[in-house]
Amino acid sequence: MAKSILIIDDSAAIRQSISYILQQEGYATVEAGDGLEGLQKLDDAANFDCIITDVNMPNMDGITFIRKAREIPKFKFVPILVLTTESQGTKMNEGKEAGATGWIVKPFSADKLLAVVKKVAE
Amino acid sequence: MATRRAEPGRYLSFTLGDEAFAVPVESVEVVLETPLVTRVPNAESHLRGVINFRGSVIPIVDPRLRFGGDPIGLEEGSSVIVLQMHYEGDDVVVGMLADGVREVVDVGASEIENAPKMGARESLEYVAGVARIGGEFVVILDVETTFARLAPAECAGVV
Amino acid sequence: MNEKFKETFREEAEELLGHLEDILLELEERPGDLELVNAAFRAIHTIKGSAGMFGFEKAGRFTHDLESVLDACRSGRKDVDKHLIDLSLRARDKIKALIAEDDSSAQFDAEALALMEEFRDSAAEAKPVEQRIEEPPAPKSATVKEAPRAKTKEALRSYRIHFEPARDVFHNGTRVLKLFDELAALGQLSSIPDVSRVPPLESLDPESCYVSWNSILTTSADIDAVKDVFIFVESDSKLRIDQLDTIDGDDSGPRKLGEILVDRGVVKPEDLGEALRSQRRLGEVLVERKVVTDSELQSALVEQAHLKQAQERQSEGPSSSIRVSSDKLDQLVDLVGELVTMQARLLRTSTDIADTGLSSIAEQLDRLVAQLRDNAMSMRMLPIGSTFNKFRRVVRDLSSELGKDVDLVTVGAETELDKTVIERLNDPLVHIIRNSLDHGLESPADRTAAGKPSTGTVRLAAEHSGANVVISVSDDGRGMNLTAIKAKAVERGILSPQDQLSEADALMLIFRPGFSTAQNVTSVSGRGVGMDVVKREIDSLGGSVSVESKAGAGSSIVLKIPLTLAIIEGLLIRVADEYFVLPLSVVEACMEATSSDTSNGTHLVRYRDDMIPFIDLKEYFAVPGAAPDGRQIVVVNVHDNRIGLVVDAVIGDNQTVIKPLGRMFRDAVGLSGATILGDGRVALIVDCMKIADSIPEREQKARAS
Repeated sequence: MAKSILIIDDSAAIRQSISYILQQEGYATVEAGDGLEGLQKLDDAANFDCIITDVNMPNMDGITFIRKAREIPKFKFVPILVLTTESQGTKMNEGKEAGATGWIVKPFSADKLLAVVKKVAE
Repeated sequence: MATRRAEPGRYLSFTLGDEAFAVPVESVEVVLETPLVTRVPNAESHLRGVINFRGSVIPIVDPRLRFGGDPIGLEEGSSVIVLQMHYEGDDVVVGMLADGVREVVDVGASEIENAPKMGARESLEYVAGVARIGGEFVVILDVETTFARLAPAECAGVV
Repeated sequence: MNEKFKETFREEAEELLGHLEDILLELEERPGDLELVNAAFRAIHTIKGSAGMFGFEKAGRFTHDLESVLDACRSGRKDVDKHLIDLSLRARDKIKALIAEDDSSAQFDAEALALMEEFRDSAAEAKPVEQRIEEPPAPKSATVKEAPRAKTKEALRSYRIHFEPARDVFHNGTRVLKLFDELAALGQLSSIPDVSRVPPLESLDPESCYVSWNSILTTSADIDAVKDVFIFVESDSKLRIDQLDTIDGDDSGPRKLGEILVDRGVVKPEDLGEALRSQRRLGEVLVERKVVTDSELQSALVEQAHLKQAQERQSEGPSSSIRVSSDKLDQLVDLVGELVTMQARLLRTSTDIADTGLSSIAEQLDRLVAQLRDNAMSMRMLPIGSTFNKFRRVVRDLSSELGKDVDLVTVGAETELDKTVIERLNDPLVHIIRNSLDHGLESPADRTAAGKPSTGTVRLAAEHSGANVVISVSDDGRGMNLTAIKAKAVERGILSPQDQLSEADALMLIFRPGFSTAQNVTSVSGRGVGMDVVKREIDSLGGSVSVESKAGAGSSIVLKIPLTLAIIEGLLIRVADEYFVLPLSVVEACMEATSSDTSNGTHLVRYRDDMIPFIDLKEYFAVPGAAPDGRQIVVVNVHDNRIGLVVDAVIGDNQTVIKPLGRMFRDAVGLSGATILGDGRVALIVDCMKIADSIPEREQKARAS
């Protein structure tokens, strides 16, 4: 069964490109535009092998999303990757404290994205 | 078995009991105080055992036992004459026990007699010749014959 | 992926920039509204983060300092003023232009450069970020290096990795064991978990990680690649990666346990010295003294083994070899033999003197000598295949001479055996093969008549079996005619007509001197010489011969030969004041002999759940003197039969350099050689097979009496 990945980013371009890259590699993807929408995707039927989330988003940011996601027993131990930029060292720590597994630094190439996803999700 | 004739040359003389014997000096490697001999069970009776000679294990032969006499005592100042000899086509080194080791002497052709005169104990075939040295008869020992295996066919192929 | 999403990004950016304009204008009216500042920052942040990914590097670079300034504003380190709004609006227009233009390789124009300059100054003016006590990890590109590229002949390095994950590591979705998969993908990995902090079950939190790991990785990857494996966990784990000395094939021997422990900081050098002086196994001593914990010791031992193995692998590589004359090799082995003997003397002397310094040197030397010995011995091991090939020619020539069609099948040509043993096996094997072809295999016509394929098969097989090599020569011929063998033996006076022989014993008659069963003497197998010579040669090699035969189906002759003739591991025992060595390869156990064991008249003694026969070596070797109390029984296993050997005392292990007893002692049954002990005296090596062979006779005798 294909691994399923939830992608949360307010930038459609980022979301779609990540989705595209992962689909090429046989992953199934679900997209959400912000943390709140992402949280709504974590319903009973959801079964994600990995979640990739941006940090700065309207409505609900990525850090809050991670904290809330970790409160759901089903997603307590699911790998969560944070999309971040080089300038946000503190965000990485905030992310880790909230329960993120790792991060992907923007800008990233397709190879880099896949390597990190494979590292945590397979 | 044909007796080999002793050649003139240098000989090392030694005693077995009160009789004097000699072997050619060129076959002698060294003379040792009798070292610790390890008995080897189930071997021919004149083989008293083995010793450590310069890191090799060599047999210790007792000529007196070969001649039907009493064994040479190992703790009473006896010596071991380490000899090179032929054994069934191989060169081997053996240690021959002797009650006492005397001297190296030159034996000229005129001093060697063919006809051995000695007691009945020694069989003729062990004797390569008799030398008259300083008014005494010394038996020149044919070591190859002395320590050759007796009746090899009897022992071969024990199953 | 650029092109596909470029347009999406462009639309998105346009939208964001439109939104940004509104925010900035609102902000001009309410400069204190943090929500607005945040929104402005987010817009710029998103554009910046994405621009680089879709080929708008210029826009990305341009935005960098603006983002910093906005970040300073939203965290209160800088105030929003009219000038900033002004600059931001101009920047917003510039970004729009940069994204609209397609040529990102062009230089920034003067206006862009001026704006960037302004933002840089403005960002520099902002109050510095309050330093967190915990410095965030320097952001790295989270590249997971793929398995080391197959570079030609790249030097391998070994890393010692201590990894103690945060207790709540699972709560971050980290799969700890996956990290080890990643490490293993980099090269050769040995890991040992330290579970000493795992609490008892009742207080164990299943969602916590109590385990830490000590690993050794040998890889061609550099240390950064190793660190990258832990990139997501290094900030909250205890991680220590040390590169160990480069392994190269001809480096000195494996690292000492003590060195490893000191190197790891587990043991202080002075503790090490003290432990070494106690003359026991270092590890045990250190654990006993609580200098190291058992798990620290175990992981150091794993490291030691790993490095040794890695070193061996490295040196395997594309193996280069040099030719050495076999004389030199023999000399080497002789010298090693001398060294082993001297070493035994040194060990003994140092024990007598009881100087701990000397003892520790003697013990270290002992290990070195043992390694040197194994090394020298392994150099003399050759595959038996070269000899097998010679036999092809023998079979070919002989089969045409005899008018028989024969296939020679060889199995186990790669089996390694001491060079000297191989050389000495040549003649016996030729004899056996000749016999098989001549007497064993039928003529093609007879074979056809018997319903067999007209081509006969001779199978030559070699395989290791413990400290021995078993070589068998089998044919699918007519098998041995037991009646003819017995008749011939009687005719030759080897056997009296009334003798009752078992089938196996009857078959062994063919090894008697002067025995020949061939109906007509042929030029091939000669005149009855042969098999007795074979037996004698195999005996002198310390081996044994056995025969199996099935009428009509063929026969096989099986030789069991010790792997090496030079040095073995032995067990030194004493009977009265005589010393003997038993090959350790056949020794199974040592136990106390009770007088009820040895004097119950059955010649059987209880061993585990069996009754096994025993032999008193004092009796067997006719050792003079009375038997003392409290004797020992050494249980040996020969041909899958256990027998007990009763001795006065078991002294201990002995590296036994085998010295031949020489032909003069060929009657000395039950001995296979001699060895020189540490004190210079000679001990005899017991031929356990021979002694085992004497058991049935003795049992018969016991029953008769």
